[in-house]
Amino acid sequence: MKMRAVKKNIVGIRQVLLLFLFSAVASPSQPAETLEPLIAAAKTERELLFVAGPTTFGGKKGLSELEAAFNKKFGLNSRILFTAGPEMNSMAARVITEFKAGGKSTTDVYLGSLGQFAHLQKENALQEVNWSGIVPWITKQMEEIPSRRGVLVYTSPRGIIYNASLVPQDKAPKKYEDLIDPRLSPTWAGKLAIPPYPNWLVELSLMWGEERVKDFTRKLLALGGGRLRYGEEERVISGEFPIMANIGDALAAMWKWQTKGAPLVAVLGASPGDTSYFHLGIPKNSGHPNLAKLFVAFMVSREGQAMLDKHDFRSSPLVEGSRMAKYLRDTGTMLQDPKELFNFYLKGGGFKLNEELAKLLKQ
Amino acid sequence: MQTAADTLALKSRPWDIDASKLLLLGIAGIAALAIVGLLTMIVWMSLRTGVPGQLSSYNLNNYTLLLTDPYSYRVMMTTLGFAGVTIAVSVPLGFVFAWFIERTDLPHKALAMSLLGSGILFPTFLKAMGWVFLLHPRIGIINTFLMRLFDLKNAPLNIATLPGIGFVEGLTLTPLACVMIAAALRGMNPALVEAASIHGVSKFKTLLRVELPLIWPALISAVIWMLTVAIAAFDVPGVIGMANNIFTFSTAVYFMINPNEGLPRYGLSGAYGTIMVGVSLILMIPYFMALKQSHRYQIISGKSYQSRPMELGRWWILGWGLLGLYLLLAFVLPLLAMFWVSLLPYVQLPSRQALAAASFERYSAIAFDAALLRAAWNTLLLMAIVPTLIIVISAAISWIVTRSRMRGRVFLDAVAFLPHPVPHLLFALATAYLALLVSDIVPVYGTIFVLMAVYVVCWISFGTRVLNNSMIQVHRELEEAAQVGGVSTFRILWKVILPLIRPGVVYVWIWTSLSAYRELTMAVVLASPKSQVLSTYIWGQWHGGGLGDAAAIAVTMMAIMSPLVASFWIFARRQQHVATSVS
Repeated sequence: MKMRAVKKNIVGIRQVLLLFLFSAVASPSQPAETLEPLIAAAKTERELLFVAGPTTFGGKKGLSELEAAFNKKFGLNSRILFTAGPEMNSMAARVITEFKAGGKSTTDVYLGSLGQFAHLQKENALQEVNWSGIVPWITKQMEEIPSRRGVLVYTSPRGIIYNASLVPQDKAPKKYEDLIDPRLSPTWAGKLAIPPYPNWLVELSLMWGEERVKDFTRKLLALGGGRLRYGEEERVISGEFPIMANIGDALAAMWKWQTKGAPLVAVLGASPGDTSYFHLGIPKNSGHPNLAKLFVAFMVSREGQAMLDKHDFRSSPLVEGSRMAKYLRDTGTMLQDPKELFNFYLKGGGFKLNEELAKLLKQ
Repeated sequence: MQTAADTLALKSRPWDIDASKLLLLGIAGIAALAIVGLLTMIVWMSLRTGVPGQLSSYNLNNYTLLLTDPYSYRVMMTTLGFAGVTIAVSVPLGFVFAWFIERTDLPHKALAMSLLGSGILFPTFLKAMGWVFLLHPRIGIINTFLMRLFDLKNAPLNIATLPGIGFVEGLTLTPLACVMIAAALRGMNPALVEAASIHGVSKFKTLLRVELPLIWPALISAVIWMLTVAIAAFDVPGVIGMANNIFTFSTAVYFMINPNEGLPRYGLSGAYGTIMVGVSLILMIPYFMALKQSHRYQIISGKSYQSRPMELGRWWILGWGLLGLYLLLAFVLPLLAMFWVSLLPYVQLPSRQALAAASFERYSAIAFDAALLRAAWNTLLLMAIVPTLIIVISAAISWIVTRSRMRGRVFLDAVAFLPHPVPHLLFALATAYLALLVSDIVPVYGTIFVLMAVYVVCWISFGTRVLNNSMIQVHRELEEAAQVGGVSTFRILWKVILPLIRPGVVYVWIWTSLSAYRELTMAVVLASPKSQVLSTYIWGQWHGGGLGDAAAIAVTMMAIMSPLVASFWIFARRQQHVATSVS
């Protein structure tokens, strides 16, 4: 009986020790930060460099409003130096290159989806921040996928977009498979815009399998008329390309342009919907890391999300009352599991397939 | 009795170096080192893998990868096709305009030449943007008009093809071809033409059998020059080609360092670059051979001798008609198309409905765009500092090459010429690589200084060509007299030579300043948030899908910068360097 009690105690001590060791490994030298010292530190950093697509967060107009609201919320007097830069993959590549070269990052905040975050995490280029510990309105769920190296800022189901004036309703695609259906495809053969990135196809392979995705890609390329990056939906509205096989923000693009009277229609191409989970993270070599942290915190606050929704029709379903949370709840739309996606990139061969598909897309 | 020259011959020996000579040597040496260093960097990059700062072994893997990838051959063939169309458009058009201006009695020739030269006011990438809105098979205004007029089912023209982008590039290079050919026509022996005329040979036959054979070296030079420019061109292939899956050398290299997946492939782009440097240098051999030949066909005439220009009669209408059509296609229509797009909430073809939606909303947003103002400020800064540095460096190099007896001056001249044939994108690439490599020691990466440095390096060749020609015309006696009087070399250069070659100096300053205003290729590789310039700002909007915003900013840029640029241009004309200033 006494021996059993001693053994029980030893197990208990071992558990405590393990827990202690685990917590020490899990958060190496993490100071107990709170919002106030962060704000104080951010006040010494006068400007925030942010490089992203030209229409990000409402572009020039949206960002100037964001700047004012951001400064007001934290009592700052900072400037957001926004620059229209390369697309997210190229930007991730630039962040990694600058980090490895030992220089300061071109951007203080990085915006990208899970494929890019996996790449950045693999190269150890992003700061790990105890977001939910520092910022009261950031939940663990928002930071858990990229292991606290980013915070989910908006979720965007991907899909097909087309110009309703050029693609008649009865011939319009309802899902990705329709794009290569010989009964429908003559409408857009030779005019189909394909994004130059392989990510969406890589993520589709989790539902379809690799071979089916490769076959689909080959057939799609045969119908291709050109390459459009995400964010270039205006070229579909203009009719330069009547249809785009996939865009990262299909629904947001449709909502945004339909309010301007543009004939843009979005269709989610798969079920569960293949989805971009856009996160904001901070490069390890950021020149203004404290201001960057506050900016990330602001973007997932209610105020930040409201402004994001106002300009971009984008939001995070993890923020209560957001447009995306409401949309998913009302339509019952199922989305791809972000954990599964992220792990596929990190451990499951996502990068290898990415490389193969990138070669296919280049031809 | 010893003359001043004899005294100097005794005094100035190759090893006689005073402090001011040392200063000039230092300036020229740094510039030469920068040129050779950056070219070596391209070769060095090609032998490594990974990103700057990473350990790498040295091997030929990048070359193997390049030469075994079918994509590389596709890019090379596309580049050659693009260059071929560019030449096919620019050289014949340039010849026609040069012939009308130099060989006929076309009225208002000076105005014609000035209008052709005014192309410098309109950056190439803006013309390319305009042409997308004009001749795209689905959104092109001209195509739609033609389809409606002739009840066509398909668009008759397509700018989003290899011939299409070659056509736009050709249009933008026509003034340069015109200037190159005009110089040869001006120096041609008119007696042969007159002899043909006396013997009753028709005007057309004279053109084919007499005039064309006489200027063939100039035509070949123009063809080779256009070829090197087209190979290096980024603007038109970037704006029109990339979205339509047409990749030339420059855009392929751009994507290697801004990849859609994985890390930048600096090594592979270095391998591409090394091959292109080799090709460019090889192309210079026939170019110089043709230039050498051209002197055989020129005549030296007295002021009293003037060739009789061909009387055009009513055909002058054809000359001005062609010129008018060219100006319409090259400048007016692209600008109007951009203006139209800038007024709309999204790109639409002209219609009543679209007109009802037109507004100046985008323009009012521009007025409060702090980033745009910063880009404009950076552009102005570059327009002021780059030409000044080029004058200082070019003057030092040209003085050593043309006025000194230093050993190795011919080599220095050759090094200074090197950036001319080598695609400037490669210098930008090498500079980006170097800046990244040393970023933790010298934090210049992403600053305006990097842009400044690479612009200066690339345009030294132009500065030294003009200043060499100017300095060589200043008689040595003036300099020798000053030297005998004990004046230092630096003061001689400042007080004697530079005032005498002032028109050349002003011309170089203005030309390089305007080039800094137009430049996109190098800027797009090197610009960062703090070193944005107007061209990269517009490119960022366009490339990111903000077509209307890009058009609005472009039109605003033209409206604001044109008076400034035009006054530069008028000033340059007054310096009597019009003929060579169109490019």
